[in-house]
This record gives sequence, C-alpha cells and structure tokens, in this order.
Amino acid sequence: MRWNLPFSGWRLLGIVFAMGAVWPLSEVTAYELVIHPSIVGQVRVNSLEEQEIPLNGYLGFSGAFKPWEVGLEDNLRVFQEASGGLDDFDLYQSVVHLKPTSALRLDFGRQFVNQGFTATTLDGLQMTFTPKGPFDFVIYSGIPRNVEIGDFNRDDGATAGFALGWKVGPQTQIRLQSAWRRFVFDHLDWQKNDQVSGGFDFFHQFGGKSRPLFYALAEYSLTGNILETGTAGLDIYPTDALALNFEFNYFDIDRERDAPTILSLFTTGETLAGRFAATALIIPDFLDFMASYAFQRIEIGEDVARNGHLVDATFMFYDDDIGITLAPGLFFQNTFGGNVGGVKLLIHEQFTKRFYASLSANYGSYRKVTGNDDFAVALSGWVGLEVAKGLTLAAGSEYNRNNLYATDVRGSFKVDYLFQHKK
Amino acid sequence: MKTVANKILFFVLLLAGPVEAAPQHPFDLYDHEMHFAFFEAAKVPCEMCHTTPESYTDRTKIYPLGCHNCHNSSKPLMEGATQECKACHLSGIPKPSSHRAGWIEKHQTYAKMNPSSCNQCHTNKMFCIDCHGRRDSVQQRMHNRNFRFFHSIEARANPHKCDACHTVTYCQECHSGRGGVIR
Repeated sequence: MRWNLPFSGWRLLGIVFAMGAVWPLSEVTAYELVIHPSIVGQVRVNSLEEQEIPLNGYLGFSGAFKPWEVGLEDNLRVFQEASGGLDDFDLYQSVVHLKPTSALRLDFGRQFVNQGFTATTLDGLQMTFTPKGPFDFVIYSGIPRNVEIGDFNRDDGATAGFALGWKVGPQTQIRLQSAWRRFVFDHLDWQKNDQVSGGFDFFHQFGGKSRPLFYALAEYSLTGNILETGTAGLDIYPTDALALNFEFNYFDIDRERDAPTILSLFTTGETLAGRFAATALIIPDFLDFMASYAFQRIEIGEDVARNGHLVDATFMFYDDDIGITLAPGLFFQNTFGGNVGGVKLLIHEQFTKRFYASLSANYGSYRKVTGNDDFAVALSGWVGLEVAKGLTLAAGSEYNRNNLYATDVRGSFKVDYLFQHKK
Repeated sequence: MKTVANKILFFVLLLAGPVEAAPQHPFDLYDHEMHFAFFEAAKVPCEMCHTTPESYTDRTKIYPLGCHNCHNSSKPLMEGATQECKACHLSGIPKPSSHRAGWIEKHQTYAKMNPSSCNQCHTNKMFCIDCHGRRDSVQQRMHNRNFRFFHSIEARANPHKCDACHTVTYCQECHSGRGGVIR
C-alpha cells in the first residue's frame, strides 16, 4: 500500500535498523540476534501484455539481551509493483519487549495482538502480568492498523482491552476478555462508531484413553446487543494414530455499526457451521491422511438461507531420511456461489541440507452461479541452494492456464539470508 | 565366492554409514524418584501426569503435556525447572497432538485461550503475521495461484473466514473497478 508520510521507505528502514544499533553489544554478556532479509521477484507479462518485474523485499530483525531482559522485533516489506515505486511499504511489527520483573512483561510499538475477538496489528502498548498462582492478566491499548488500508492512516481509530486467564486446574482453563474499539477517532456516535465486546474461552482436557479435549468460545457485542461468535469443539484421540476434531460455530455481526466487514456485506443474518476433521497416521513417520468436511448455512436475505459444503482430503508421504515430502490431495466446494472441484499436489525434496527442489500443481474446475464455467491450472517449481552460510538462492518457474491467460509462463527468483548469533 | 560376498557386504556397510542409536524418548531421561521428591514437597498431585489408572503401569498412557506444567511454562509449578526444550526432546521437538486434526481452522480458539502457549515454540510473532498479515504478490503462498478464479465460491460458504486477514478495502481494489492491471 502506498505510504502517505513525506519521507521514503528507505529512510524508515534506516530508523528501524538504528533501533537495533543502540545497545553497546560489547557490554552485554548474553544476547541473541537474528537478521533475516529476503527478496522475491518475478518476471511476467500482465493481461495487457506488458512485461513487469514486481519485487518484494522483506526484512526481519530480532534481538534479545539477557541481562536487561530486553528484546525487539522488526518485520517489514518494501515492494515495487508495476505502477509503484520503491517507497511502497508494509510495516508488520516494530516492537520492544521489556521484562522489568519475572512476572511483568511490557511490549511497546507496532505488534501483533491476539487477546480475543480479532487478531490485529496494534500500534501501542501491551502489558502482561503473570504472578505466581493460577491467574494471568493482559491489558493493551493503542491504534489498530491494517496494511491493506495503510500503515499510518490518520483515521484508524483506537482500541483498548484486557484479558484475564485462570488456570483452574492442570486440565482446565478459563479466559475472560473485553475490548473497546472506536472506528474513527474523532467521530462521536457511540452506537455506530464504538464497539464494546466481552468474551470468554473455556478448555477442559478429560482423562481416559482417548484424552478428549472440550473447548468453547463466545464473543458478545455489548453495544450491538448481539452474540457475534459462538464456538464449541471437541478434540479426541481414539488411538495414538488417529486424531478427530468436531466443531460447531455460530457467527453474526452488529450491522448497525459503521465498520463493514466481509461477513456483514455477504450476509443479512446468522451463520451456522459445523466441521469434522481427521488425521490418521497410517504408517508412522511415513504416511498420513488428512480429511475434513465443513458445512455452513448462511442467511443472505429475509428468511432466505443457503448451504455450503467444503471437502478436502490429502495424503502426506514423507521420509526424513531421504528428505522427501509428497502430498497429493483433492478438494470440492459447493455453495450458492457455484461449485468447484479439483486436485492438488506438492512435492518437496531436500536433497542435502543446502539443496532443495519443490514442485506444486493445482487444477480446479468450477461452475459459478454467474454462468462462468471454466478450469484453472497452476504449476510451480523451485530449486534452491544455500551457497554460503545462511545465504540461499532460489530460482523458479510457473505455468498458468485460466480465464485470463491461455498460456502464462513466469520466471521467479529469491535471495534469502538468515543470520543468527547467540552468546 | 565367499571373498566376493564379503567385499560386497563391506561396501554396503561402508555406504550405509554408521548405525545411529534410536532417538531417546523424553521419558527415557525422566528421573521419577528425583521428581517425586519435589512433587511431594510441593503437593503436586500424581494426576497431573497420571490422568488414567493405566498410566501407572503403561507409560504410553501418561499425559504427555504433564511435563509442561513445569518445563516450558511461563508459570512453572516449581521454580528452577529447566525451560530448554532440547534437554528432553533430543530427537527434535514434536508437534502437539492438537496440531493434527483441523488445526488451521480451529487454532484461533486455542490461540485466544492462551496466546503465550504458542510462544513456547513460535517465539517470534512473525510466525502469526506470516499468515495473518504478510503480503506476497509474487508467490501468493496463502491461497494457491488459482484461488482468485473461484474464491467467490468459498467466500459464499464462509465470509467470516475472509475477515480473519482481509478488509473490505481489499475486495474493493478489484471489485469496484478501481483495481490496477489484472495479473
């Protein structure tokens, strides 16, 4: 996304690096550093028959300094699309961690927050308090961000919340959460522009041979007076080689607030869903089978509901001794948008620690409710070699056939460097 | 003939390399007597690990995550317990059982329940951002290359799932006619 501040993404890169250069490393007795830049690019022809070379440059940096219990993490993307310049920029996280006591942790900056409701990127502060005993407490506050809208928008609103965890026993946990969200910071309409939510999580692991685990989640919008999420699930392990999951979901959303979501645009009422998934270790350390079936019923109009069915099944062959992974599978979906069925394949061979090759293929044949019937084929292959410690070069190619391209061939390249140092 | 067979056997053994010892299970390293003394003093119940009667005689029935109440825990039941995974998991850190059936779809409930439990293995938050936030216009790792041609079918099954990573603005980039060249 184009970034609106007056200085370039390269200057901000410099600031981010400067954050990591502040500490006098020679005075630190224990530290851990990770620097991970990578560049991915592709040569391709777009649907207007123009050649373009999009580039994605990623930079990851993390450091932990033991004596002071200080850490920091930075992750960003600088990218160039066909029409943009190198100033296009995504900042995923830039956070400093402090642990002034064993029970208190502070996180400042842009960070990923997951304390119920939605997982979000937050520019702010999160405090985690874990005293002795069964309770832990988290409080956070800041500005929620989304790179799809922009990294530093003026009108991203504000949010604050807390969570209280209680480990009732070795096999039982409860968590309570509450959050406030204002969508536009200076707009005073608390019914449409503010949301206050409350929620709880519950986990209990039963005894017995199959070790069933029951989990439940509920999230309620207090301002909208509506249950937005309800989940109940069961994990069960009848044998060591078989894992089963059953889950039921309820979704709805406060449609009065001025913050549309994809759910609120597609539906007019509640969504009911159920899912069954299974993983079987057919031959341990060699062959697994994974399958799932999901059913959804969504309200798309006044007393009008539609059902959807999704099926996915994959075999996974793998042999760590020869470094091969082979995963053929199929998928099928039938919804009021149409139906699609197809097959997929992934092959990855790690010839040596430094040399790998991978191939993926995907074929889908679809029939949409709009009358658009077609099929799509995608083949992609990569070869990678670690030419020096931490430095991997990879080259790849793609072939695509779809309703945009009768024949589409692309070349890709990747340069990845991983530096890790621990003292 | 015997000499030839011996030579063949020699070369086969040479190419096969040294025989590696079978990886040790963490329970092979466990000192029950030492731990029992700690547990008795701290009044930690046996049921923390022995969740079934069979587990007292069959170690395959022991609750494998019982160890994590002290080891690899942000709030260990007893101070001083080692937090180093490789102290016990000599042949590599196994995935939890929960990561098997339906993990991609159900992990949100686990992550909301105890975000710090994910950090026990996934120490860098970029692991979450990799799926939930990171953009890649070249490889399109999250959805396969063909997804854009029939995503309308899956979106109509469960639009709530799209909200986990996308905003309405993202859809409008293509669907409002303001999008750039189609690739």
